[in-house]
Amino acid sequence: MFYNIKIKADGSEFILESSNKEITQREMDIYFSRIFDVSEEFKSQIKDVEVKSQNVISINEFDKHTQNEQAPVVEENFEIKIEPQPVVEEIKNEEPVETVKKIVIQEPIKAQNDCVVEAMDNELVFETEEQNEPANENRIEHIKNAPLTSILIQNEPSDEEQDYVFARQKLLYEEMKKEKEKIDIITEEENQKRLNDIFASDISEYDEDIEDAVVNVKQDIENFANIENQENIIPSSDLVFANQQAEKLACEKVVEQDQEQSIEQAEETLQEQVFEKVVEQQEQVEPQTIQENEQNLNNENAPSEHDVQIQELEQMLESQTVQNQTQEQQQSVSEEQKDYNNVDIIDLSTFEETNSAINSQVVSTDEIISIRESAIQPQNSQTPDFKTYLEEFDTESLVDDFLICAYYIKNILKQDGFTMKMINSKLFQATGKIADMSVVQELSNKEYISFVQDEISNKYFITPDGENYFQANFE
Amino acid sequence: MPQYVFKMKKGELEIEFSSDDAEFVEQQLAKWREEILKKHN
Repeated sequence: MFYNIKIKADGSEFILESSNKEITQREMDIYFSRIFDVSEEFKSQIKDVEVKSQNVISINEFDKHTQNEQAPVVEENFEIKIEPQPVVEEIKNEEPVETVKKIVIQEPIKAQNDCVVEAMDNELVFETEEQNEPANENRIEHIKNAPLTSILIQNEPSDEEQDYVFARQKLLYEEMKKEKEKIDIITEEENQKRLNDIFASDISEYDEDIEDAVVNVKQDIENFANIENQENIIPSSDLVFANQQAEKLACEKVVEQDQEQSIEQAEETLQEQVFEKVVEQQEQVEPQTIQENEQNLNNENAPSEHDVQIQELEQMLESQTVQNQTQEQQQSVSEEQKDYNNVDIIDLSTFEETNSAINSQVVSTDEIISIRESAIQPQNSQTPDFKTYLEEFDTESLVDDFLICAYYIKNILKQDGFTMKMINSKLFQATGKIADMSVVQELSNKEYISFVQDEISNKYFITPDGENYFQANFE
Repeated sequence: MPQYVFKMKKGELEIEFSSDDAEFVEQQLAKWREEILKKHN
């Protein structure tokens, strides 16, 4: 038995030849896990797994049948298609400091004295192979005075040392800022040389004093500490930008609040307008109905105005006829009025309030509604309700009841037409039954009732034939 | 003896495994395939 593993990568080739199955298996598992690592990151990148030569025939089975024959070479390939890595485009920031920061971070710089300088996001890390780190007490002096590339921060720097490193960093940024335009136009190679020169130069070349820089950096650090989730040291210009963003956000918030207030005000205004409109419409209806009420109330032998209205109200409560009538009339009222018209049947206390309101001529909106409710009560207190009216007739079917009710509505209540809802409310009160469309259909076939559809509702009318039938059979 | 060659590719990387141990090849192949498919799913 032989086990060969060949690995090709970056143009080179590695071959492991073994006769030990266990070793080979272990090695293969390692290579497998290295190449097809089990991380979620890798897993998420797999777009498609293409299995060539799907296991149509088991290799082992195939082997059993081919042992004595010419040795074939069975080849099976796996190919994993991986989605290309997203290309993260570097956004070139016009801010010079950002530009510098980017350049420095991208390429570790090999300095003149073999010291590798890497600029991290928030700190400069200097490493060297030379073991010439100064004693701890001299490190700050060393940082302050030595050329940048010779600064050694191999151990964990103290806060003070870190301040000085930041100060040096800031000076570098300042220097880079001055070079901004040149950096923009020079080639990468030239830029690299420029960076090398700057990193290799002595701090004394800069005009700004290192101590002042330390003070400024400390101030910056305090500012950074005030920014939540601030992980990276960012240049002062970024702070300005952050402040601008904060102000912008604050302004947007104020604008949103203003808009919300405006909407609330608009809603309030609209409600007021609707309210006024309702009151206006109510008032238009009111004088006439009040007058009619007063005329009815001034009938001869009539009791006091108060008593008459109480009587009317009690009748309405007993039969709900008035309620239904009210609902039918309300259908013709505009949308804005609906909420106000859907007032329940007025109770006696409401009525008394209404009455007093009429007397005092001081009318509130609720009272107007109550007045209107009372105004559409039956105007003639002598009008019998339908239940009483129906008792006079000897009927046997709901069809007859329906026709009598239609006659009652037209000739007693003096109303043109009725709806199913309206007539059923009366029928139910009187008979405990509700007419369905079969009743309507039957009467319609006999042409005793007619049907008219308007925009608001479907209305039915008793026809002259219907009235004749009623008079012939029930009167 | 028959020889079995098994190749895996991932970009520029390639592993080629060849053996005359049919049972072992099948076993490894099944195991890796399962893992790859499991990752994919």
